[in-house]
Amino acid sequence: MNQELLMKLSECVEFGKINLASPYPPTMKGQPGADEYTKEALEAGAQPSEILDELVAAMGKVGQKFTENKIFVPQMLLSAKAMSAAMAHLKPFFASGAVQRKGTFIIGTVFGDLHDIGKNLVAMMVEGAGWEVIDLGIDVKVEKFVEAVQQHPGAALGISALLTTTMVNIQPVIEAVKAVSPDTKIIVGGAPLSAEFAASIGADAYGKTPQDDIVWLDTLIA
Amino acid sequence: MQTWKTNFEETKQHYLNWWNHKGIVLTMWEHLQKDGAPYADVAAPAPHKDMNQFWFDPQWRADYLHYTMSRNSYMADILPVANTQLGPGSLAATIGADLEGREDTIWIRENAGFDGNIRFDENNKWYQLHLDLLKACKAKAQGNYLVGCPDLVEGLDTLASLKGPDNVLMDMILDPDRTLEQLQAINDVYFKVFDDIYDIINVDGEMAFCYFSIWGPAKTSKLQCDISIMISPEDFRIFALPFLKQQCDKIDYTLYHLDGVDAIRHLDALLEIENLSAIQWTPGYGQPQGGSPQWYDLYKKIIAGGKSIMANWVTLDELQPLLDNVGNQGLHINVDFKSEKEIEQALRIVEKYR
Repeated sequence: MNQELLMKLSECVEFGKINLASPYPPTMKGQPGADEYTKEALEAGAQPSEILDELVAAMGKVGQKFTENKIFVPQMLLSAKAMSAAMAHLKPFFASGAVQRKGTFIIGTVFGDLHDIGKNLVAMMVEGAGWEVIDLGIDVKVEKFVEAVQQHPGAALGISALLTTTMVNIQPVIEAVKAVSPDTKIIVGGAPLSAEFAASIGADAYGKTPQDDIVWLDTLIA
Repeated sequence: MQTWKTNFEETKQHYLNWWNHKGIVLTMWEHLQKDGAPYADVAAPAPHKDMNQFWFDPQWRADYLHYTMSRNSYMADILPVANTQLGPGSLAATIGADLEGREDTIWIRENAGFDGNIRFDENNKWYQLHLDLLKACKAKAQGNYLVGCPDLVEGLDTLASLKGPDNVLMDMILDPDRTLEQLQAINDVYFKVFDDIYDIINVDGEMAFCYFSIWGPAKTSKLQCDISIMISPEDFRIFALPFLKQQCDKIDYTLYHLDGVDAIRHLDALLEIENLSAIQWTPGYGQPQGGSPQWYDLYKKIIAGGKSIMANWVTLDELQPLLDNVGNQGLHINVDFKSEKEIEQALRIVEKYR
């Protein structure tokens, strides 16, 4: 019974079925979504950690399909929404310590830049991969990044920029964060960035797609 | 029209040819300062008090533009056009988004209270600013240069400015009918605002756009759908193509701004727009720029599809190979000029192909 529910839940996340009311995908219209199946699975006695594993695996498939251009951002957003709907039921178990996240990931768009779509996508996908995400928002000043890193020791940091004029603002953030917390691992991303640029400003990694961030974060805890 | 550009008639002919998929336009992105004396003794305006004045004070900005226009070079096909941009996508501000002027750009801030209805209000302060700025610039220009059409932007990009890109992308799937209604409403507002602007800035029917170095003998615009890098070709055909077609049908001369490698997947759909005149290619940061051999096949495909091309940030040493490989019919080349001497060098190369 639990296995069947978990399989349905996995499908909901993979194909972006948020809840009963959601009309997408058309083939699942009128059926329960990730919201209902998670609730049902918990009531049926499924372990929260089992559910989380299922969700993470489903989001892994989503990330892979996105990387291969089999799906695009709208479909990925709906999968992430379905994931969030499921995660809402697991929150009490995270709070009690019954389920452990992989770690904490702080993310923000660098100061001077008000774009948020790329940052939001990465935040949703990383959360879906089992990490706690602290989203600092857009136009984030150096001090706010530093403060967040100090408040969350051991957290990894992601910094986003979408413009050539604002990508240069990432380096002062990296320098300030490394000055107070040299061991903090930092990944950067955004349309104008490259692996070479990331290396030149002292970042530990460059993420071209959300999946790159997830793969890199997993190496930190391997 | 007697402007500060002495060879404007020749340049106009180059543009007319180019819109008709013939010949070469040689120009640059915006301007560089001319050598020698300015065209007129124009005093510099007092320094701007803050970024609000720099961007949003019509009189100060008209004075500033008049000063810079009196000192720009208009060699080759560089256009005498004052850049009146009010942010990349200022149409959104006329229907509820907000503008925020900063040092390097104007940001379009989404409308937190957007209720899904696209409403145009003649009293909207940003709409009024568009009109006030253009009128002030036109009065100052006195026919010495053209006043460019601000970078309005349309379609999905404008909807994203109103309610955020995430919401637009999800609504395309969750509420496609409503999204299509909103896109039609945006196009309706676009035509109203564009026509109002055209009425102010046109000179004998001619107009120019603030960016992308385009001039036309009638209504002329740059079109785009930057958010298309995030959507499938199927969704582009549903949510972008019909509205772009409407624009191309109503506006006499149109240039589509194809931005980024991930946007190339929509090229086949764009080439199906019968009345689209030209396509501009922006490779994006981290990619070889417009003169690179990497894009020759892309340019050839666009030309074979019956559209003219615009290649941007071409370097001097890339110019001749570009012409040799892509041909000399329907090319608008923006060279990254640093001086008038470089313009002369480029002209010597291009003359051999005209």
